Amino acid sequence: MVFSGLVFLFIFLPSVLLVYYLVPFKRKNAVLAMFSLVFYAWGEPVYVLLMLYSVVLNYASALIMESSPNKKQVLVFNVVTNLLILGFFKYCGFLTGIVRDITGADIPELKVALPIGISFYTFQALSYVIDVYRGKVKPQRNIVDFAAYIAMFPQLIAGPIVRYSDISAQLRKRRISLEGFGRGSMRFTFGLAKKVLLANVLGETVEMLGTGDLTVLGAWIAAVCFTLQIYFDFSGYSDMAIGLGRMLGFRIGENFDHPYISSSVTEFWRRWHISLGSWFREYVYIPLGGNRVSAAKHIRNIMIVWFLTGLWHGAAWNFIVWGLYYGLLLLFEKYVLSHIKLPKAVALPLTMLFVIIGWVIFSANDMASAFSSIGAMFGAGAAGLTDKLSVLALIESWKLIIVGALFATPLPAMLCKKLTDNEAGKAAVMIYAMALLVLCTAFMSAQSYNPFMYFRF
Amino acid sequence: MKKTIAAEILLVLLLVPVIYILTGRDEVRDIDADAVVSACEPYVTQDRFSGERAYEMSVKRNFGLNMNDYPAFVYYGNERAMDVNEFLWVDAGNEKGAKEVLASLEKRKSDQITAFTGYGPDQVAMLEKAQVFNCGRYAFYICSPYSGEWYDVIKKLVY
Repeated sequence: MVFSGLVFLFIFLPSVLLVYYLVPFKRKNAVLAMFSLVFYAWGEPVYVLLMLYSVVLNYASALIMESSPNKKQVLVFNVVTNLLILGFFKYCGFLTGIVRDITGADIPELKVALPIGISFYTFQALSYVIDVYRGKVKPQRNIVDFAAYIAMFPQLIAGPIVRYSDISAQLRKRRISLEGFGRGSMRFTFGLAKKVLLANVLGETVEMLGTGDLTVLGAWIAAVCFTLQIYFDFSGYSDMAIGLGRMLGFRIGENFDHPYISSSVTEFWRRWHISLGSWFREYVYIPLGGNRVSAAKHIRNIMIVWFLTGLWHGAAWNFIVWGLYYGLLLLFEKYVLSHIKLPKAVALPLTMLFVIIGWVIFSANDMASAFSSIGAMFGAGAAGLTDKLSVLALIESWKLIIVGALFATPLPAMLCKKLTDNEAGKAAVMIYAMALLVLCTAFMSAQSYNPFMYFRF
Repeated sequence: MKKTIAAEILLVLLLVPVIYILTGRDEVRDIDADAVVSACEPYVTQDRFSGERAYEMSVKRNFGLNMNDYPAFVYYGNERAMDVNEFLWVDAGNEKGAKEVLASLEKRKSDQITAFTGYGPDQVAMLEKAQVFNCGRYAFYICSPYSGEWYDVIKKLVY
């Protein structure tokens, strides 16, 4: 089930909200946990078993750790088990492929389906156990409340990665109000619009161009459209998750802060997928020593974090290269560009250029195809400057690219905030949101292209 | 300490049946021709197919496959000589059979590309993006402007 689907919007969500609002507070977490498992089971019921196991494993580990004389041993056990499960389902095929390629051994191809959202809920669970170990939070004694945290459907499938310390108080006590519901539903609607009206439509242009023989123009249009598509897809989903959380009384942290207005790659990663970046910083980078070590160790720490960031995104070489690409860029900014202050008019487009190239690597089927696409962007190996297909793509997408670029800036949000200073403005924004919802519903009914890109993590 | 180790062993033992259930089962669902037709119907109307399912003779003519040798198939072809839109699903009975069918489907794709090279650039472009694959015992040939969407629908149907 996807948020941008008619089943979710008109059957599942109303059912959840109706039951959730009707039951007394002490039952709300149980309702949330139950509906979250139904949501997860909708696509493939059997993978709920793994989700339930994750709940039991991490719930039990935290309680055992509390009473154990050797807390570190329990932590190691838990982290290793969580990572082995994630590794098995996500990386088994990739690793056996590498061993096959290197050794030539006749190892059978292991086809293991990837349970949806496993990267997200595993990282959430790890943050919980590590925070219990550090004494930052007390173990959750109520398994239903804990299940509600791990399985919470708003962010279960594609984040944001919610740390237990940010939500533990809200599990016990949270304010559920009409105002929160209203704000949450507006946020959800705007996220839905980003996904259905922008991301999906941009994606059709990317699909149309494909990855075959691209012209220079075609390569750039595909790259720019994908850059916008992935932003609206992922940030749209995060908006929906945050909006749903608000409707249920939860305040979930922001996951995107207009990353495409960044003047440096460092700034970009403070604005893009904030929950993942802060997870790696908190649980990998800082424990390794962060930047409070020698330059050589700092470089090592950055490259480890970015290798893992790339690997987290997918079991393929292009994701690893993408991660390392950003690691190198960040090091370059830190050690080479730190004394140079580029004007914003240069820094912003330069940063966007690096980001767009990064997305070309990210979206490629393999490294050969990535290099081919990047080469085509700069004329090397391109099938000419333009062709019928790329000109058609430009004609069909230029308006959407401009609208997308505008909505990637803070301007629409600033305008919305200014409008809601008075009652008439609030009414106007509400009507706008309702119109968007109607339009999205129409699009969803007609659209056949509706992938959620971050679902593959 | 002993209690801790015992609890950890119990948690690992609990994982074993979970992994077994998730990996020990047949990945591919059983589907029949009616399920394929229902799932693909929206795309049949969007694509310029001839509209009706074509039969064994068309598959024999275009793919060199005798559909009487297989449990089931669904084929949407086209009537116009310059169209290359086609959809073929074959239930080959087992994975080995599906891979043998795949060889014929790949040949169809390459023959079509050869046939249209030089005077049908749009057709060649569509053919190059055509999806030819197997899911377990099922083999698929999807040549369409919407082949990406067809593929997503098939995946959801089969897995």
